[in-house]
Amino acid sequence: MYEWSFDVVWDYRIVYLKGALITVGLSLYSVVFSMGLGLLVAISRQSKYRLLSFPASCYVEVLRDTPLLVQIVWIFYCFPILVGLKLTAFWSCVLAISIHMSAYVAEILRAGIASIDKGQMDAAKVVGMTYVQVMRRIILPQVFRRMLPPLVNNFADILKLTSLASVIGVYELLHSVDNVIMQTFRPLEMYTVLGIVYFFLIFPVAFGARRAEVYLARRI
Amino acid sequence: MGEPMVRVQGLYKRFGSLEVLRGIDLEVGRGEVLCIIGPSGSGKSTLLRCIAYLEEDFEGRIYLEGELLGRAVRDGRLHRVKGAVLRRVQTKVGMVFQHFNLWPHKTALGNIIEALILVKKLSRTEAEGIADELLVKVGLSDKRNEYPSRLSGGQQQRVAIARALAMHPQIILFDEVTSALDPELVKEVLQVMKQLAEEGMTMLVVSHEMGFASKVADRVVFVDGGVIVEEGPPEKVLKSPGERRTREFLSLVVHEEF
Repeated sequence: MYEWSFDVVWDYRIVYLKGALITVGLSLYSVVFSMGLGLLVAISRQSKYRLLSFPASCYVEVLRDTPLLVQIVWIFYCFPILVGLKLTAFWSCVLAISIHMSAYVAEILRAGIASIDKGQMDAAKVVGMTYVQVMRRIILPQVFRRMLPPLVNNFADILKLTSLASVIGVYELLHSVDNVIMQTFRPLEMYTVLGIVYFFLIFPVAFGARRAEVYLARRI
Repeated sequence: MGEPMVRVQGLYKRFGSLEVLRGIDLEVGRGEVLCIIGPSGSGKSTLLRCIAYLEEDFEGRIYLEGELLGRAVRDGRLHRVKGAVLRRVQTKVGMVFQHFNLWPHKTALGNIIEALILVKKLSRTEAEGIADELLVKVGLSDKRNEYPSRLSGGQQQRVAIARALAMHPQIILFDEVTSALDPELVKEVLQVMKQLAEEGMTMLVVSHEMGFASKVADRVVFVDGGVIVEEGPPEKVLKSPGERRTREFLSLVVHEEF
């Protein structure tokens, strides 16, 4: 019978804490950048100009049909050679996750924009609003409200995906814990607690998404 | 007299291979109330949407107070215009829609002041002053802070009329504005429209309300198959139409008193 010993985990609590901070940091940056990028892509895809909509469609397709892990290593190893710009592992990862998730954000926002009745756009055009004004004041506020649950779910996904950063040596949760296991030889305890820490990071977000869904279902 | 409020010349509009408008010529005088009647699919709504510049791809010319809408003549040829040049002419037109098209995330007041602030660059206080006056006018000052979802169809439509009026349009287009309403709510909307007509507002009304057409309109136009079949004063067109197609259409619509 295996002898559990969680004392080691307690000894290394600071490692978990630091790892969690990096994980959350990676996630927050990725959420912000993927939202911004996703919004641009969604609007481009809606465009009546094929010069904008076609590249945007390709962008979404390529990113959704290649694994994030490959995108991370590609951006970390190949991107610097091609562009001559060296990014740290942390920022490479933020970039890769942001670009990857922006494709999903774009799809969510596109569905949201399509769900808004065209008549609202007409009413806004007739009173002389510009395209930017219509988007900013009429369409997007409703899209974000309607699409809040899937967007928050995306956030939960991002928190999970940051564990892939370990492959290029970012000391986020998984990599930090892996590293300690080499010294403690206590993988069972350490991985178990790792899972629990992830759960407590992600559960509130997923819970929030579900609450948002219930709240919005009641309102509309 | 000067220029008519609206002058439409040789207007053609196609959706793909479907020709919806096939050469419309029409004038609307200042202060005139013109009712457009005709079967569904005849192009009435498309005609209004062209005049509101919601359909940008049309052939022919539309003048508002003598100014070309969405086009400019350069080197003897018609060119499209955009931006501020377009908007200056386009905002002479206000429009009220069949399905109200209020913005659901804004209150009655919010719907009215939005464009005053964004487009006319008024301050919030100025905009609210105008909006409150208009809410009184359409009889909804007590609904000022309600969201559209909490208003009846008739109330929503009256807010939509106030929203259109706020921009001080020279002409208002009404696109089947009572068709989506429960019968008992039709009257309150028609009442507001009648009041506007009496105040001298230029109105272009697509409607199936024959009672309204006969009492309020100065002129009635019957459209079918994308062309104007017949036009004249309501008592003539509605009571003793000259064209067979007009007679056939009128025999199919129910005459309701307004």
